[in-house]
Amino acid sequence: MKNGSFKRIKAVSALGTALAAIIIAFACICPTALLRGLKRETERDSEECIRAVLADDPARAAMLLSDIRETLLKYRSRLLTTFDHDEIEELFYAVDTAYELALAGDKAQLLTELTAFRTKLEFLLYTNRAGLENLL
Amino acid sequence: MPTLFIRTIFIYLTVFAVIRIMGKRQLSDMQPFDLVVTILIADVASEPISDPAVPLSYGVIPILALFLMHKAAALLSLRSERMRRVICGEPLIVISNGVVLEGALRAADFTLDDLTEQLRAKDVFSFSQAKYCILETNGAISVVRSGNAPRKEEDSSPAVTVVSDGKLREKALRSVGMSREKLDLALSAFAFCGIGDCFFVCFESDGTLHVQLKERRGGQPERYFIKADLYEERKL
Repeated sequence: MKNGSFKRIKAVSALGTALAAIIIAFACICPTALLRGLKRETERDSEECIRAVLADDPARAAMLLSDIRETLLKYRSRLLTTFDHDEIEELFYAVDTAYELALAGDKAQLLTELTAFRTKLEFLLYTNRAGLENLL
Repeated sequence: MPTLFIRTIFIYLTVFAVIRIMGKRQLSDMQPFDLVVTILIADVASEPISDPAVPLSYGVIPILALFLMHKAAALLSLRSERMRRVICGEPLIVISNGVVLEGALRAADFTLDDLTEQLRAKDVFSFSQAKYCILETNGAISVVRSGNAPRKEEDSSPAVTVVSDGKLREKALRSVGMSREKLDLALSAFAFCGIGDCFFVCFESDGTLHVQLKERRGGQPERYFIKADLYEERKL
């Protein structure tokens, strides 16, 4: 085998290792950043939605839920390529159900679904945190 | 279905590229860390292939992480002798100068049958034919044959182990046409011991009894070769 071949093998190996390290670094940063962005964009709307429900204003609640759904749709493809599809579909399901309940004027159930959405998002963030409780 | 197909191709290409970069060691003699990576990659790759709800990154990221771990282990074992010992272990001499080392076998969790099997794979059909036998870190053995050992093309009919670790194998004893009484008498007359004291007794192809006693603290284990004409002459 020529000396040049060894150099090429070494270069390919080094390149592969570097590429793997970069992909892993991205994979460590991206999911959490994605979820934080989603939380930031939906948090204000969901809090305002709760206030609207408590103020007996289901029409405004439905409008805010529609905004939350828009935001979710904006993130959808990125979320699906990063997280388990079932977990993401659960978020959509909670918002869709809350929207239907807002239209129907069922305050109690609407608050339950809205809380479920917020909790699920928080749980996704929690499970992606590299804390000891998730590592062990 | 097209999704499954494309995902399978993608995972296959990733695993192939990773194994290709790891080198040929993956395909033949594996060190422990090679084996770990190979087993884990197979398991990790299967989930995103079979379940479309699982993103490909759930398979790709662990595979790349394993690849990096493997690279780190290979680099450490290359750079430091101590780390190489930790990662790969050390070769172990299990037969030294024709003596089967009982302690070394126990340390390697090797039974006499395992050793016999491995020796047979190297065309060595009796302990007496091996001068040295080294258990390598990848689980294979290397054998230095003794001077009088027959070559492959010559007569090398297998020896029969009739006593292993102090226990008599009656079926094996019957297969060589010997009685327990005859063996007892041969051992007491020529090796000054009983069956329970023997690490092994092998019946060689020429009728010789190859006896090795169990190890005693601090001393080399005693070995005896009792020729067939000796114990036959005494009408044992």
